[in-house]
Amino acid sequence: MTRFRRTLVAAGVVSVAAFVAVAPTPAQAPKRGGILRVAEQSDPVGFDTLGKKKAPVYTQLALAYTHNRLLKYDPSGEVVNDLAASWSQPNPTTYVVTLRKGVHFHNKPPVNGRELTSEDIKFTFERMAKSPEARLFPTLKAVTTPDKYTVRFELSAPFSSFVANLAATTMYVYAKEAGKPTPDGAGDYTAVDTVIGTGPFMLEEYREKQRLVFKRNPDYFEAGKPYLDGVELYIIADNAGQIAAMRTGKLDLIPAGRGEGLPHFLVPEARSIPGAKVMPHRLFQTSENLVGRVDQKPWSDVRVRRAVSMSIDRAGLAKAMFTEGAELFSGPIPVTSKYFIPLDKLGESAAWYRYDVTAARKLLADAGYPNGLPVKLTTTTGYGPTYTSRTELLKSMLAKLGIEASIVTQEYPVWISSTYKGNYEGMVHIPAWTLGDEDEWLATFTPGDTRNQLHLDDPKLTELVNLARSAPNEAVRAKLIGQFVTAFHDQMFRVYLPAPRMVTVTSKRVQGYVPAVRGYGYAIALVNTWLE
Amino acid sequence: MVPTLLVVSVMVFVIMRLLPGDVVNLMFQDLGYAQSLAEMRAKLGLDLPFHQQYGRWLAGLLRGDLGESLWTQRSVVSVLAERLPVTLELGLLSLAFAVVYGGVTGVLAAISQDRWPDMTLRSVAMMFLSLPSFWLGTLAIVVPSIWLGWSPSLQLVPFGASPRENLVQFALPAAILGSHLGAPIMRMTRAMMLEVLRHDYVRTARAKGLAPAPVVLKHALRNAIIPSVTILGVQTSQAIAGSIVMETLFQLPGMGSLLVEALAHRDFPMFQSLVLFLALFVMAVNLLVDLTYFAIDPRTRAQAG
Repeated sequence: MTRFRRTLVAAGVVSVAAFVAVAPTPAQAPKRGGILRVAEQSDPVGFDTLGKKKAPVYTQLALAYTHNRLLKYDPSGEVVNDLAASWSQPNPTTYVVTLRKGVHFHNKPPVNGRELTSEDIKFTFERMAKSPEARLFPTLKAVTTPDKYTVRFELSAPFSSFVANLAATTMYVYAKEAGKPTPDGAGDYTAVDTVIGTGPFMLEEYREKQRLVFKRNPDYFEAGKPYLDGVELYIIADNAGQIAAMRTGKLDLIPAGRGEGLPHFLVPEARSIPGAKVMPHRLFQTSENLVGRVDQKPWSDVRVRRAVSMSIDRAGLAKAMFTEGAELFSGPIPVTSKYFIPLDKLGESAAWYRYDVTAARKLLADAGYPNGLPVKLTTTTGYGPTYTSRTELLKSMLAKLGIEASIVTQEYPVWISSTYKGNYEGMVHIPAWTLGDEDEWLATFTPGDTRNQLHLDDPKLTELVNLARSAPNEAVRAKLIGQFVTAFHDQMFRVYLPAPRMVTVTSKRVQGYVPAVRGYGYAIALVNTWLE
Repeated sequence: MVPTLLVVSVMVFVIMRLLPGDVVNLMFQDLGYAQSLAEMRAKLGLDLPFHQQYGRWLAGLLRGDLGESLWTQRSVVSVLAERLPVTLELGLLSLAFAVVYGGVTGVLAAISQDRWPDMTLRSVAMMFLSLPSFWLGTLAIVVPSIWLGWSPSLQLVPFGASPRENLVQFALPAAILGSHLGAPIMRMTRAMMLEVLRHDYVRTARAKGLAPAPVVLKHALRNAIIPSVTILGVQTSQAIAGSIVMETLFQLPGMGSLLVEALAHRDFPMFQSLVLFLALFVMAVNLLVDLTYFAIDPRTRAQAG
């Protein structure tokens, strides 16, 4: 063989190999069977999302395995049918939902696998009305059941978030007979033996601070699903311990669906696990931010707020803290919201996001603080050590502006009972929020809302929130929310920091898992997940 | 013991009420409307005057009813029954490790004073004393997972289900905690042994031609060990404190982590009962230590008599 021919053959082999490597492989067929092992950092606190207290995050996460809602968020965050087969809105204050037929509760006593009916939906909404979740449906007047599979919702006034809130990860449908009797008839679903839903998995075992074991629901309404035989959910508080367990083949999934998720500094460890898939993704939440009371100095002065924003080196902060990526610009609604306005379309308000300490100092001087000012900066240990590290970083950035921040670190119960409820002085480093529909985000900036930590009472913004709430159609709603967002950024009521990507890690066995973008319910993706 | 427990019960009750932040605010978080908060406080009995709350709790204690967790609504007694064996096992294994490690290395260091075994053992003890156990614990999880493909069990293996697996599961956290607790015992044993080995009666025993082992173990050690036993009593409360970290790192659902959670949730009945129980445990161990003096040192028996 001549040298030329040898070269030609070698080139051919390389080309074929390269083609094989990059050519799309036919979609893998899902396989039935196997137990998926998942890590979570904490236990559910009871199993009731519509009880008398706020539904804890880990309760919502657990019920995503066992229960369904009328509607749900798909992985991209869009609202799609869950228990509902269809829905319609005959007039601005009426919604009619038609249920799927043939949906059965888990075959456990006392429900024993009976069929889901419209009466269950009515009962669930009666429970909701007696719980803190009543905020999700402020204008709901009546729920009626014209027939076994139809539910009719009557509102006292139009409410544009109605459909989206049916997908809230607290709105799981409960069977009346599964609850422990209570005087008000709402039932108590705190205990393990009340966990009887229509979801893809059935709760088989719960050992506090250790694990929850779910087994496949053979009667699940999506034929042939879930593919998994079951899920073992281990409570592992320590992130490093979670990674060590995955490295040694004891775990398959470290989901991201709350707060900060897996700290970015640990991601290189996860990447070094052979075959592990590391998936950074966005979540329907805003970012941490700096706030103050707009009814008190110095935050009452828009120039101070703008100066603070311009003194934050967002790119530097993201580079230092969020190695897996972050959205530099976020809020007051999440980047993943369809109403989000990117920085380049924000107009003149975009100027306040520029990192410019000199201009910021001038603004502060114009506000009457040419020599800077001392301020309390409250933070908490409740969100972990990386959170307080970021507070330190913010302090150093504020120092360049001339603001001498003295950090006040509060224990979590103190924080929740005082600062988080708006009782504070100076400035606060507040965490990101994961809320429901856009209306809920905007409502937090209206007077009387318990989450109005700014003490904001701006008639123009409040009117925009109310108008958006009762918007007759999507186009009008989008326009009103756009106006709110633009005005909010211009006034810089909250100084938003970069929003980090969440990080989900799966082992090499896991196939078909798509991280959920919205709500506390990653388990919904497990219906389509299988193991190789 | 009873007066001490009564004082502890009053102290823990008052201190918990003086702490800012409360369980009801934590339950509602950012959705805490005044009416909901007031209703929940009334439901949990937190709206009663302090003396009535204390009276109720104390009356319950005397009946053996420790109440219900405000956070999880579970019976405190049933939670304690689940968590207590884990902490007891971890604590006892750690103390056992500390005694063996501290005692043996203390004696070895003393009999080879200022030679390389002494210097090595003293350095190792100083290392265990100065390294935080949470760091050692994290290292003990991460490093074997990378180099040996091993990580701790993800769930508790009860002793009754498999004694071998249970002991394997507890061995590493007990060794880490025990090495931290054993270091002061080592240093104290060494110092006391050096002092005792210079006494006339030891010199006499050697002069009589007694073998080195009986001299050290029978004559010297028995006199040198009393301060170490005293330290052991003090170490019990440190073992409980250390177990909080070890339980979290090694997925052991014990009382240490429960104590932290109860405090973080301002779960009054749970926290008060736990503190009272731990106070009782520490007192019992110290009583045992006092009784041990009688067994070790005949002079204390004579003084008591």
